[in-house]
This record gives sequence, structure tokens and C-alpha cells, in this order.
Amino acid sequence: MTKAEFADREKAYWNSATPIGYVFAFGAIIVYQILFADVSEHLREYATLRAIGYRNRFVSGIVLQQAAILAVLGYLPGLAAAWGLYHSAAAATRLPLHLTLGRGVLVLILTLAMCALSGFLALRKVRRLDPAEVF
Amino acid sequence: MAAATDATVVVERLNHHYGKGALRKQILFDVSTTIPAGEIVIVTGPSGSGKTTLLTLVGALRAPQEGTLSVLGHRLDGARRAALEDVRKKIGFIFQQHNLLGALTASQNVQLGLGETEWPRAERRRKAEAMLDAVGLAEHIHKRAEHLSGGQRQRVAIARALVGEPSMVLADEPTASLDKASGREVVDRMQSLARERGTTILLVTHDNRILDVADRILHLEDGKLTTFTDAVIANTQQMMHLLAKNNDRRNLEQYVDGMDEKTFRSTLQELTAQSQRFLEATALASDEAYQSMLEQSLRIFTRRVGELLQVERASLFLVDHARQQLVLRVDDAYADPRFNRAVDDETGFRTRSVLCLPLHDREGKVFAVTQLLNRRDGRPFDDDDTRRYREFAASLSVLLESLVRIGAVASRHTS
Repeated sequence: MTKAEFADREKAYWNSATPIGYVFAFGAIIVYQILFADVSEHLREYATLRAIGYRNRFVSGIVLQQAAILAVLGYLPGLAAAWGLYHSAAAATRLPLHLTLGRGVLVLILTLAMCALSGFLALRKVRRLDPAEVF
Repeated sequence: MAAATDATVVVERLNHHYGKGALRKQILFDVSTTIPAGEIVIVTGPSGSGKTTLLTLVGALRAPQEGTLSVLGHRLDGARRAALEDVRKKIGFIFQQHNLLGALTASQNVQLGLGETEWPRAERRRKAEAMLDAVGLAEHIHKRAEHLSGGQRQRVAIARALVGEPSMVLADEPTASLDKASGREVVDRMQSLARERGTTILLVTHDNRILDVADRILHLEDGKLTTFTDAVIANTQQMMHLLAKNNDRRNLEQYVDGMDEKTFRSTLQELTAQSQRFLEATALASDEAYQSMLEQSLRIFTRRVGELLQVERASLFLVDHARQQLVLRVDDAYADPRFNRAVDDETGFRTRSVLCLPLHDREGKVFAVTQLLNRRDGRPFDDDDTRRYREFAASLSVLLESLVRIGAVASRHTS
């Protein structure tokens, strides 16, 4: 086995055995759960807003804003933790590991997309809301 | 298509159903009414009578199914959802539970009532605080809604409904969760603020204590709109029934004689409880709002009877002593020796024909006389008039008797 062959085998193993997609799917489910619970708890207040004349778009905006806040608030400690992990892993294995700006931005975008997906799923409950029910 | 008049709400032959197929249930039957701008209308009726459904339809929260409905100049039947939402923005809503956003302050909640308008932030805050001041909550502007008392929250809700200066306010049981004093305060605020601004108010309630703020009272019973008079008679009969129940006493003397101490004590307690209930019932009856409602309805009722029977004048007289004469019909007053012309000379009214009926109380004693003067077509009264008038008089006497009794109760209290 040549050095190049070994490198290819290693890359293929890490790509197939640890697909990062699972992490995001799992994350989306958790964010959806959080948003759904929050929406259910405040359903009456959303209905009130709808009843007094706020459009669906406005109320949906509130839920999506919450999703965005969750994404950013989750991303920042995640970034710090990853930073620490890179350093300790690099020190322990003596491998050159770098957290590049591009990777950080990519993960932020993926996180926002994940939360947006969850937000849209949680929205369905709000959009189906009948404002007449607050009476 | 806008309504031709300046009426705020025009409802015509409105029907409404819930459910589908075998579960389909009709809630509103052929409801028609018109509410002019600036009027305060109260809708009463037992729960399940369709009051709230009517309110949600008028509030553009539900799409009408059958019949026509215009609100603030917009036709709502057949309107699209976005159009309904636009109408909703012009209406102030007050809900049964205040429905404030608990995490926001009083001021922020009131600002929500300004909608998605592009007011500058400072202007929104100023308007909200002025409105909170108007409902007497100036010191609580920055308190969170969840830290306010029930009455204060409902007043914040009123401020939220009125801050956008809506043309109409819809309120569903605004006093349901409040005690008597704060309920009174809440409706008084609503009334005075509405009067200042010429706002139309449609208020659904079964709280009899606040009926007096209304210009007009509509009564819904099983989804059908009935007249106020019907409602009063129904209420009155219910009240009389309540009083009659408490009169069901057993022969006390017989009881007390052969009693040991323990039985005597428990009987006494039972009697006290009964008296308590009786006092509560009479307190309800002597309630000022109820009394004025009865008085007002009697006046309206008498006038309506006069209209129905096509006469020039209809009056009611209370009598102290019964003369027990059943019907007095005078075909030509000036030719009748019983008629006193001096009265006519004084009032300038030319009496031609007279129809008088006694009103009997429950014991069959005459306690009032009601009188019709002059058929509009100039002819004397006939048997048909007498029969129809007698039918009216039967319900009239129930009403009047209850009013007289309330008066008696009230004077007994003061003496």
C-alpha cells in the first residue's frame, strides 16, 4: 500500500463512517421540539395577535426569529467548544488541525438552515390557528 | 359594496352551522339586526345561544356561511381571508380572559393594539401611556401583565382595544372574571371612552349588573334573536319562580312543638339558610340595573301595544283599590257620563273612544289599569281589539307586578 492509497482509505473511512449530516438532522429534531413546545405554550397569545389584526406573516416572523435566535445562541458556545477541541486534539495527536474561517461560516450557515427548517415545521401549528378560538 | 347607511353593522338573515354531515348543528337562525354608529348594544342570552358565534362573525373572525353581513362598510359574506383581516384591524377586541401577553409590560401590551402601523416608537409609547392613564393605570405602565390583578389586566385589555381608535369595539363577557366593583368600573370606563369617541360597542354578556350601559339590548335564545321585552318577561318569570320557591314553608308550629334540642337546632339552621337564599333573591330583584330595565321595558312595551292596536295613546295606571270592573269600553267619550271632559280641556287631547283593562296580580286582585285612547281610524274599539289587548295585558301584568313588588321591597328597606 502506497502512502497515497492509505490516505485515500483513511479519508473514505472518515467520510462514510461519520457523516456530519446525522448531527444536523438530530439538531433539527431537537430545535423543532423546543420551538414546538414554546409555540404550544403561547398558542393563545398567537391567536390573540391574529384576532386583533396581525397577519399570519407577522406571527410567523416571531417564530422564525426565535429559531434564528436559537441558532445563533447555539452556534456561539459550539464555536468556542470546537475551538478548544481542535487545540486539545492537535496537542494530543500532534496532527496539524486548523479551524478555518470558511469552515466556521459553513457550519453557521448549516446551523441557520437547520433552525429555519425546524422553525417552518413548528410554524404549521401557528398557521393553522383559528383566531376565532380565543373567544 | 358598502352599506348605504352609516350603520356600523348590518346583519341580514344570517344562518350559521358548525360541524359537517350528521354532526352539523345550526347555531344561528335567521338573525337580522342593524347597529347604528355610536350605539352601545348588549347581546344577552344563555350560554350556547350563539352569542359568541355572532360576535366572532361580526368581528370578521369567522367567514359568514349564509345571509349578508356588512361591518364598517365592508361586505363580509363571501369576502376573502385577507379582506377579513383588514376589517379586523379596524375593530378593538376585548376578550373574556384579558388575553394579554404575560411577558410584556402593560405599556407594551397596549402598543400591540396599534397594529403593524409605522408609528415612531416614541409616538407609540406616548399613545399607549395616555390610554393607560385614561383607564386609571398610570402607575402600572411598566409592570408586567402577569403581575397585575384581574381587574387591572382587563383594563389594560380595554386600553389595548381602544388605543388604535377603532370605529367599533367587540367585547365578550368583559366582566366575567371580575367582582362586582371592578366589573362596574370596567364597563363604566368602556362606556365613557366610547361616548367620547363615538365608538360603536357590541358587548356579549350574561351579567345582568351591567345591562344599564346599553342603548339597546338584543337577546339570543337558541340562535334566534328575540325582542328585549321577551327577554325581560322570561327573566321576570324566572325571578318570580325563584321567589315562589322560597315561600314553600311547612307548618312551623306543628314542627317546633314536639322537637328535641338537636332537631330544633338543625331546623333553625335550615331555616336560616332558606332566609339567606330569600334575601339574596330579593337583593337581586332590587338591583337598580334590573329595576330600570323593567321600567324601561314597560314604557317600550306599552307604546308598542299602542302601535300594534293602532291607537293614538296608550297609558298605564296603578290603582290602590280594586273596583273589580272587568272591561270598560267607551265608544264615544263625550257622550258617556263617566267621562270627565275637564281632563281633555286641560291637556288639549280630544278623546273619542276608550278601552280600559284591569291588570290582575297573581292573587287575582286588580292592581293596575291600562288604557287605550282613540283608534287611529277613528272607529270605536271592537271585540277583536279587546281580545288582543287582553292577551298583551296578561304579560304586561307579570312585568308590572314584579316592578311594583321590587318598589315595595326597596321602600321597605329604606323605611
